[in-house]
Amino acid sequence: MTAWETIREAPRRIGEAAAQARPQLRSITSPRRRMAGATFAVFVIGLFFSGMVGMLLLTTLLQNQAFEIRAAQRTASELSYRASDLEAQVNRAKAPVALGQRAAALGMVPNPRAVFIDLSTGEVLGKPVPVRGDEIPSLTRVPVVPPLEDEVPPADAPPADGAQPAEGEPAADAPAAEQPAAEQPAAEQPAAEQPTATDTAGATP
Amino acid sequence: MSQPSRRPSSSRRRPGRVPLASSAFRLRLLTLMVAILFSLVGARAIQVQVVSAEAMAAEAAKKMTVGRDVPAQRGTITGRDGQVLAQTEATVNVIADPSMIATNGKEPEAMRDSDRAKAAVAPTEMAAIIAAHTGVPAAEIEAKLRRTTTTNARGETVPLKYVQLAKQVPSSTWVSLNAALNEVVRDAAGTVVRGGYVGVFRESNPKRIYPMGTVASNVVGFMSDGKGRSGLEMAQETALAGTKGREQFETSPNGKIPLGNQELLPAVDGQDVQLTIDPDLQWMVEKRLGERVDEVGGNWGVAVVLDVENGELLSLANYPSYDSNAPGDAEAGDTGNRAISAVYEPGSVQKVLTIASLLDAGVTTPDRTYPIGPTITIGEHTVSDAFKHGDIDITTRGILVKSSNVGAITAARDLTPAQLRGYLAGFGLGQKANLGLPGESAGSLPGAGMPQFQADSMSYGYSLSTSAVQMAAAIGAVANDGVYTAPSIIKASGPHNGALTPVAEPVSRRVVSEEAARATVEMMEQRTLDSESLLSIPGYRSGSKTGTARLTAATGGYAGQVASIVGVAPVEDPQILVYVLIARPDTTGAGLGMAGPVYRDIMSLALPRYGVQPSNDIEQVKLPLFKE
Repeated sequence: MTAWETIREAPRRIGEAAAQARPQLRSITSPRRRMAGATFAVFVIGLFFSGMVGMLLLTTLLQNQAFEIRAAQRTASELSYRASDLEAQVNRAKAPVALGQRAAALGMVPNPRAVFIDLSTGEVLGKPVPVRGDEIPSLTRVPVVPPLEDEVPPADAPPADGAQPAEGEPAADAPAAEQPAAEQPAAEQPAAEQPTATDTAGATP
Repeated sequence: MSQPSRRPSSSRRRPGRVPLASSAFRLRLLTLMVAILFSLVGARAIQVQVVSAEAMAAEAAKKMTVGRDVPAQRGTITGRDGQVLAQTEATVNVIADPSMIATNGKEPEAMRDSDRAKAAVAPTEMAAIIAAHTGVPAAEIEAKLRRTTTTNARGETVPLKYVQLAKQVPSSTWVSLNAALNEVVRDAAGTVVRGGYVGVFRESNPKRIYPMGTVASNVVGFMSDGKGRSGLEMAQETALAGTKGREQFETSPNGKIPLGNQELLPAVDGQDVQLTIDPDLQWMVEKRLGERVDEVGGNWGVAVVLDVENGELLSLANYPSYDSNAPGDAEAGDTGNRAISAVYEPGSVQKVLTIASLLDAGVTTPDRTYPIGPTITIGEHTVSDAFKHGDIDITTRGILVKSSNVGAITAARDLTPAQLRGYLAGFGLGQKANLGLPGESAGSLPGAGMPQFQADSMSYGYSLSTSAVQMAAAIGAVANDGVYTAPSIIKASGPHNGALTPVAEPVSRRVVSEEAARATVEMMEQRTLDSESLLSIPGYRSGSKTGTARLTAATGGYAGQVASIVGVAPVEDPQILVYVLIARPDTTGAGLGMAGPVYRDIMSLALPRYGVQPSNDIEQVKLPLFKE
């Protein structure tokens, strides 16, 4: 056999040798990778239910927050109403009409003859004149005692204790009390109305 | 012989029949139908999502979106010290759903006997509680609560879901009412006896309130149907009202969608307006004026307090006045502002302006004397003086102090009518003061080409008309060293509850020289000294001028008269001007007696109030009024 023939024969021999050595071919069954029908159903149902529960939780959370917001808004609204109401009451109470009436009821009188004191020298500018109380009677006449019912502060308001003892005092110390007897009626007129004012103020906690 | 019949097989169907029995064909048909169906759905989806996506989305959003107005808060009107003259209180209407009360808040079919029993007595019990809180009669409330049906526009009977029980109650009243209605009373066994009522609600309905009532009501005005109808409420309506906003949100049957689209165009609250008015002084002035007008049987009165240095009106009082909270109770004529709308011939107060003009023109001096007789003829009329005299030599000062008509006419003839008119126009007569209030009158001033008799009349306060504010501002110019400053009543304005910006400086111009103005004020002081016991202000040098003039009737001619007085203090540096007018139906009384006491009290209160120090050297020397 020539070398050439040897070379030519080589593949065939190799093939034959391979054919003799090759094991019998058979099909291999691949393992079942698909999920079993029941498991898949359970998985889908589980996914569905967890989705539902998640949605429910989310909705509940949002609703709760919405309720909280609504409640907070309602509270804010009520509080702003209350603030507005109280503001109005304060403004009514500090209006000159109400203050004037109460001042007059306490026996206070306007002073049209005020004098000035120069604080640097202590000099009094102007001539001090005792006020009798009848200088401007239109300001001391009290047509009606102001209705205080709706102006009584709530129970938790600070008590007006500091103001109460002072109520009786100005009348006693006022120049009006030092006036001659003939002018007493004018000074007594406010004093006569004082019980009413005290009663009303007394209702204040 | 007949052939036995055979069922045709599928392969041997008769021609022209649809082979429905063929499962393959049915499958194909079904597939085709599903394909067609999905094609339609797909086409529709494309139409919805692509072709007309925007329009469809907008339509959907529109159906889900609810919009409502966001009300703007109306601005507050305050006095110069910040005290509130007008504000908006967040009051509420108490409303009810009678059909809800009739079913105790349940569906009719779900009602139990206990619900029916409660629904039967609830209106009576609720009416008692609501009446106690709101003051509305219980019977009226109960009747409203028991009327559970109404008739709609088509004449059908429908359940009544809304009824108003009380209007604009304070929110604190609502809070306590709501608590009372919700309170549950149980007996010893724990059974609900009463309480826990349903069907009463509130709705927002803000109310404009005027905490000071009558104080400055003629300036502030009032509102009706949500709009200003008088005073500043009307004149400043646009600024005070602000601009309402708009809120839009997506909603579902369960209410607002929490994460849905929301748009809020916020409301722009109205502007706050601060006045130059001092509410405390205003109250005192109104009280004093009102009492005096009643005492003397006057028709009406007006008092003006002016800061002469800047033209700010510290008080602008009217009597009779009204309560801005209850304008319906007022007489029709009293809700305006006579201080700016009522025009009258100013009478002798005008002589202050005439003499200041003469002094400025250099045609007279305080001591120049004028020989006058008891009367003087102007046109076809003869004019005399209020005090009896023969032929006398009266000084310029005497003309002012004694209020000589004859002297004023004589002296004023040294000016041409046009010259005199020019001065008076400079003092602001014949032109609106432009305070920014409704109903302002300009008064009248004769034209420059007027005949001499009209100029003669003008010199002592006739043939021209003014309002009280115009006259106060004119005299204020004399007191302010001859510089006219337009009166103002609005001090500042700005955003609600924000920083206020002062309004522009008022118009200011020199009318007469400082020397002429000062000499005139000193003559006015002589007028005060002439009636010292009635007019002097203790501790201060003050000047004044009284006047009395006939009131022009609307129908022509005269109807009653106006007694007036104007005063300035302190004379050495005038700061405060007080002008008081009292109108009477007859010709009884004069400025000194009628209006003098009001002037003196107001000036006495005003001077120390604004820190005007007492005068150091009070001039007591009476200077010559006549040639000795």
